[in-house]
Amino acid sequence: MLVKLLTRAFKRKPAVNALSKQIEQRVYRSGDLNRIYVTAFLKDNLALLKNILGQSQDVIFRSFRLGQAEQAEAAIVYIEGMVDINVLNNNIIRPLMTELCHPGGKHAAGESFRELLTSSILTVSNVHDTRVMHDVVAGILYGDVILLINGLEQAWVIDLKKWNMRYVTEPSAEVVVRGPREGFTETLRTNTTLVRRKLRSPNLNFDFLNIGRVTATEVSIAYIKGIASPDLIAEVKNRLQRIDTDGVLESGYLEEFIEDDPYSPFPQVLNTERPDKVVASLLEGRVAILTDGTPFALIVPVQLTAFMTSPEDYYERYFIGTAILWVRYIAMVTSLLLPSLYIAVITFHQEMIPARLLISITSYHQGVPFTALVETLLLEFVFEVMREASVRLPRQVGQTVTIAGALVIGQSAVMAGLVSPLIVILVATTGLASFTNPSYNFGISMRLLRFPLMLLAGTLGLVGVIFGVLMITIHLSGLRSFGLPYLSALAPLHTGDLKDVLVRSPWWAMNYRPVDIVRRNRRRQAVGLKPVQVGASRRKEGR
Amino acid sequence: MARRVALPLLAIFLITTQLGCWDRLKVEELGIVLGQGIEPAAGDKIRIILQVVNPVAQANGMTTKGLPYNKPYTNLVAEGDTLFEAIRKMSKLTGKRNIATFIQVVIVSEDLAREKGIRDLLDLVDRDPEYRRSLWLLIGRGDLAGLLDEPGQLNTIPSERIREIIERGHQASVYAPQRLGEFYKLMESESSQPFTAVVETEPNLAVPWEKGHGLSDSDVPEPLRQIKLNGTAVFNQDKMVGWLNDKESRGLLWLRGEIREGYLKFPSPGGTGKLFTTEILHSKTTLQPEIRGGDMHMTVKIKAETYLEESREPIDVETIKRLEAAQAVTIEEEARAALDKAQQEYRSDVFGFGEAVHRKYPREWKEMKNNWPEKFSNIQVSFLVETKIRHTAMIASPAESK
Repeated sequence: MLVKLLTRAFKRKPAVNALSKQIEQRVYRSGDLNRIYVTAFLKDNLALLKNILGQSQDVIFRSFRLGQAEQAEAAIVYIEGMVDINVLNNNIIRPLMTELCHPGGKHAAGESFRELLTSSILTVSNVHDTRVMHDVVAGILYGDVILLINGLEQAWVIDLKKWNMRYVTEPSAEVVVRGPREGFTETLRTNTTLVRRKLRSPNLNFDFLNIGRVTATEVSIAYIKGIASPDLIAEVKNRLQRIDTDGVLESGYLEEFIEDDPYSPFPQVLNTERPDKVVASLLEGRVAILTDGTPFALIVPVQLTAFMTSPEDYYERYFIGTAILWVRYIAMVTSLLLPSLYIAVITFHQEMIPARLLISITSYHQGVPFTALVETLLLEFVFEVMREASVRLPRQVGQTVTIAGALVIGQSAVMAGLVSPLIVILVATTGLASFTNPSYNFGISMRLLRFPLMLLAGTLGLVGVIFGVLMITIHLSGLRSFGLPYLSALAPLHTGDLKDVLVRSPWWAMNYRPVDIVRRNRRRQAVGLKPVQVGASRRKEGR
Repeated sequence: MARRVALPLLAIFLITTQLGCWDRLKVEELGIVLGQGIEPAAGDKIRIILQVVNPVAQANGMTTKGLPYNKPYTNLVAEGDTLFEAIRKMSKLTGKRNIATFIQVVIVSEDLAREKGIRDLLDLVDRDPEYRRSLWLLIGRGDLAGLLDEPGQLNTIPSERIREIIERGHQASVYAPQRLGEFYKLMESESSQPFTAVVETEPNLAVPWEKGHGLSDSDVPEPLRQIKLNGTAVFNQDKMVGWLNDKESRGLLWLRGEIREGYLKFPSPGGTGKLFTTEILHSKTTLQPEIRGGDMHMTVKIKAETYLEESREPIDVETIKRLEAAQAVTIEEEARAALDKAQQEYRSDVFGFGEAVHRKYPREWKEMKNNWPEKFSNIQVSFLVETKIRHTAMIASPAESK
């Protein structure tokens, strides 16, 4: 009975009135517009455009006459705020209204006028004409100015895009001590520029496509011809073209449509705000996907170790880079395993702990009402809450979280006897360790994976932990990112590629691109670039 | 695809909900046993003492003031006919699960070791996986309950103190402790006999006795008695048969080649009676058995390097040579002392002579091993001691007043 009522309530159609019918009639789809063409009658064109866009108040229709003499009627259509008004006034409208009055410039609206218009009147660089109404509408929506002239069966699309945008600033999520400070912005054009400026090669290619039925978001596939494998480029395009959704607001939408294993907890697409990271990836033969409206570019294919490296590793001297890399590896293992190992050892395998340590652990656990598992889960949850709160909190109250976290959790919980101080140290260490990962999303996967491991540890002890680690390893071994094995260089072992994994080898030794990504054109630099010691060479000369 | 995700998830779910935590042991419910004493009780029973850590009093940085009882350990005592029976009877006294994993010393009273023998007594210790092979097996003299309740200078746990003393034992090298595993290895071998150190208490000379004090133990800056490792117990098979004093224990260590450090005291070679002391840097012992016409001969080669710690006579190159010779004589004396006791009195081959013979004369050993104690007693032993004084430390001759 109740179910019936509910279904009826949801099935009920909304009340139909005249206005809603009117609105419904004006829904146009891009397919329809592709079949409509610009006519020779300005009035018809304007009426149609008004019908398509006119309801919206920010679309400007400006009608005028060409020249001072009463000649052909013309109109300009654009969206307010998306075009450069100065250029529009001075370089489009003024010449059209004034310069056509010159005695020699009196022209009928015919073939020759059409040429004259682009050759000497419209003093802007990017102009093209079209007959398809779809292009006209798309142009208006993307900040182009449309010029329509009565009697001519075409429209001019003039590129005068200019809108307010965020400046290029330092990316806040991927900070480096040494390295470029610029990051991508929300504007695709700016982002492609940032990439191009670092990569002055004719082989750098940007392929554009629009994704999203409604948003028609511009997406750009960047790659270097001759380095990136053509199969890979084709695969990326295929996967992107398959997407048929109504909106793409962030590259994360795309990521979920194109990744290989949607059920894996591990990210298989790398995202970055840093142009230098994108360029480095392109040089390795990877493909970048830039999305309009977000500063996050996607990089495919990627292997696990790509998430573990920061661009800085390659800017600092190699042994510093190697040391930092290893700190990060150890921190990753720590963030995944430390709590579960502690729980397992504390609840099942006390004999593994040195006697003195066990005595002090026992003393700290006296009077704590929970088991180690419950205690750790509790504090880990509190830590996750604090992490989330500090991300969401307005900056002004950020201090509160720090104080609440440090005082309430750190000290009071221990003094109240709810948790043992060792667990606090443990959870804090684990939390910090997970943040050493340069990829935020990879760090989060690691942090979340440790919860099932902790449950396994609390119920099965070390056997459970080993079981969990094996499951993860098996999963990782089978995982692929655009055909690239996720554990590449380690699992299909390529000793040559370990130069980026076990060590960050010096630049003069990085002679080849990763073997699993590019099969041909692998050499990236000349041989024998290792600096020669001055003293050594002099000694040779002496002989 | 869905199955690939669902199956592991289902497995994890079932594991976490269905298995429970049957083997779980909360740390705070643990009784960490650090020491175990075994002594005879009335009616042929044995009494065992377990020394359990009191973790609250051990907490560093945690205040224990105001607690009425902050002794760092508790001694539990139970009696029974067998070891395991007595240990399990402890559960009448404590709510904790005592684990033997961290036991550092097992002390068997001398009387039990002489009468009952280690093999019968300690089968549990050998069998139970909780007991580590690395724990120290010692022989205790006197009242073990009292020994395991000696308050230390820093309120340490007696079992731990004994372990610490043993770990520094090589500084003097005058007793020979054995780990459980080593002891059993020696006991089960047909070519050697086990031995281990003896632990006892003695009055603490640091306490000003003449003044006396009416204070209780915990208030006194120095405890009235103190723990001391004193000499070495010698076994025949699993029964204790005798005891070696400091000098003889040193001899045992010389013959087994187990001297790492230690002092050597010897009179002046010039006959003045003045004493020299040197510190042993390292030493090496080789046993060379030889069958000469049916008789067994053993040549013991000892090489020792020392340096001068104390001198009461001026030193020059010639003196050093003579000192080295005098030193060698002392080493031989020490070794002979142990040898005589073992050969004549205890008839127990604690030096591993049998092993050396077995190694060199495997065929002859098969006949000899049946009456080895007899043979061992009759071995002619000759010594070849070479010593070297490496340096005289910071000064050459002693300071002179002019």
